[in-house]
Amino acid sequence: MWIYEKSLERPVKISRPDPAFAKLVITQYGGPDGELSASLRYLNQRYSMPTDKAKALLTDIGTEELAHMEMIAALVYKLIEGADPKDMEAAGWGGQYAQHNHGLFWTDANGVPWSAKYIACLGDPITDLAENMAAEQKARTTYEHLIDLTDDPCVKDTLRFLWQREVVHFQRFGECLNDVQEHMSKMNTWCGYEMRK
Amino acid sequence: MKRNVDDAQVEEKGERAEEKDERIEENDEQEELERDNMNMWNMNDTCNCQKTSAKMMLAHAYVPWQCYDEAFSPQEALKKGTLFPSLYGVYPIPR
Repeated sequence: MWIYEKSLERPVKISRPDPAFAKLVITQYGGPDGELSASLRYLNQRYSMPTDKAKALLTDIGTEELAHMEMIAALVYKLIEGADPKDMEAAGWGGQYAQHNHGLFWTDANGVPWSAKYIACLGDPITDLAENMAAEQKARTTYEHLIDLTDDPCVKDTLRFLWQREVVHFQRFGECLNDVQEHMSKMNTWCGYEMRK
Repeated sequence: MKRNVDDAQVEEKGERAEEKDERIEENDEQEELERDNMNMWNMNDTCNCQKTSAKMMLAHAYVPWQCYDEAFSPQEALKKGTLFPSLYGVYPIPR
């Protein structure tokens, strides 16, 4: 159950429309290290976490990632606002216009559609938390690349906020891993199986 | 924090957005230097919250526990993406 707030986590502003950059930043909407992948990965893995604290953390961060997906959606939508078919084509995004017009769709920067192959759930909490820490680093690096690719200070500001959230999430997943490893080391069971000691 | 007061004054004066952005970036750089000097990058084992060290096992990953000692104002936190000065600037901030 979620409570929906009718405002973005943080306001999204742009200086000017830029369909060419929209084509690139869409990867944080539906790319392998984007916000949809992140939210579904965490909200799905929470069930097999061994402690309530770990479950709560994954639910919290997964929920925040949904809010980030909303911010990226708002950003992309603003960047293509007012762009006509020719503008989209000139920006290298004629395919987007042909299939979706100004509607959003989950793809990476190369147009590859989102796939569940981007996320994993092994059911081993240490393995899954390690995956999440890697995911946060990949998202951090992707934001760094995207910030390099735009000159718009407002867009940079939005992306820098999302970049910093990846750093914070890495710290939280790391602390969670500390906790879970300690918890597992005290148990006689591993993922439900009795361990021989 | 002194920075908050500075920022608030800049906003009150209603200076142009561009000038304000430059000012903020200058402040950020200054702050990074200050934190460098103050050794606030959490790279050393000086933190009292380090409760993992006693039971660390090979082939396991650990992250240092964060000390909740300082906080930005809510406005500053929303701008930067974190409430915690100790988590801001641990990776080079992309410009």
